[in-house]
Amino acid sequence: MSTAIAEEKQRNILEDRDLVERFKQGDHGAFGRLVEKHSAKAYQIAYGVVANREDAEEVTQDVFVRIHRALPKFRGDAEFTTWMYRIAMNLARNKYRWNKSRGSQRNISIDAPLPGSDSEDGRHIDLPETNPTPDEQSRVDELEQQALAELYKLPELYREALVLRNVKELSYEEISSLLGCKLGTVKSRIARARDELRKRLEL
Amino acid sequence: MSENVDQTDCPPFDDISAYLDGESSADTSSHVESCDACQRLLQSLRAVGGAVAKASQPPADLAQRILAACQEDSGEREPVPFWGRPLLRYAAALVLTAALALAVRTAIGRSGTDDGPGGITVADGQAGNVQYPNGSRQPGGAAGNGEDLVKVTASKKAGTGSLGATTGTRVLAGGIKHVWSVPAIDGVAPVLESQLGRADWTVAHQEQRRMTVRVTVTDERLQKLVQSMYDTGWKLFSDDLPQPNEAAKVKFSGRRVLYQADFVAETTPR
Repeated sequence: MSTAIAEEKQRNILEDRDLVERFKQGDHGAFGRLVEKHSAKAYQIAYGVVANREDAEEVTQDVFVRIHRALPKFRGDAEFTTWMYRIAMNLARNKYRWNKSRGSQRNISIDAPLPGSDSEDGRHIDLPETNPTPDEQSRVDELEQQALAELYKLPELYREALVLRNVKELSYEEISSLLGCKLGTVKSRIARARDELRKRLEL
Repeated sequence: MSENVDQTDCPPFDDISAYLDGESSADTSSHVESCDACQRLLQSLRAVGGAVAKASQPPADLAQRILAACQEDSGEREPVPFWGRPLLRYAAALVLTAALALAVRTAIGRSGTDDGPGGITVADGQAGNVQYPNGSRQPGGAAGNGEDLVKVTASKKAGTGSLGATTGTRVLAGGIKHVWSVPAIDGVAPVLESQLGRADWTVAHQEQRRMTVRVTVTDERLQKLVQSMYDTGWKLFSDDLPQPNEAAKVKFSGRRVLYQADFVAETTPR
């Protein structure tokens, strides 16, 4: 890591500590500043794991609601960002697995007959896959959409490592701590994820 | 992983990938910086990373929505004032009733057995617990004068105080999904067009018997939309708020929420 990046990172850490202390002393604006600084990163983690914007937004809100509740008792054993990333990762994983267990919300069965209908049989309805809205489509070009589509096809372990790497400021060491694996494993997973994506996107 | 580039002396792929993240050794760095093949590979890796990063940009108003959610959450968790706690409310009611009964007895004792107007004024809703001077449970006449008069003011109705304003209501989160049963898919768009601006909704998917629509409107507008769809005669098969005829359960914040409605035609075409 270059000296400039290390210094920037240190400044951020000190600012976070200051903001946390100010919040504990009753300065609610300090929490707003923490949200401004870090919500995009929490969102990126969530988005990379849950694979859709609505769920990512919901997870991100949940992350900060929990932080808001717990911050008065935050002892600062870990840096604020490490703590936040861990919460974001856990909640996003929970959401992803919950969605997965429900068939990614793509199949909804209605067992009871529709009220007022003549049919006595239960009806099973396959709802369409979630597609991006035109607005969303206009925001990301073809390559980006393709990259995202391929990203979500990667094995969970590789995808998570790459997603965390895409969040600025996270070193391999921090990622290894978040994922609970060795440094070499992180390096390997990130490389595999990139290699797979590169091949699939023919870049 | 050691597959790589077209030069045999190039570092393994893992190391080149690590170089991109500033996590490589000095040897790898010096090679990569002077190797055309490695540079080409890096370029494609950067394109991959750039595409993924760009596509996962958060919505512009994310921070505001988070702060609103935190504010709402902390509002709901504020400690209930002691007069709002159920046990204390019951205790207070008992004390008040006892005091009232004592006051009534005192008043009766003072006014003797007169059937005259000297008595008690009882506000609506309290009469059932009061023995009136005339010995009945009905008001004995017009309000009396000064000294012997006991006034009881009507207590607040349950659920209308500050406690009721915060409990039982919820702020709508984003990403609400409802399933609606409709007589015909063709009838969906005209109803939505009558309720929403064109920029507020998009059709994400449509087939002969089903249709998925995404709506982005304020929470209050969404409540109205759900109500009007229900009033149209469509059937809602989801429990999540907003629900028709249950606007009181929603605490409106004015923020825009994402709503997905899946419409399914009721009848199967023969």
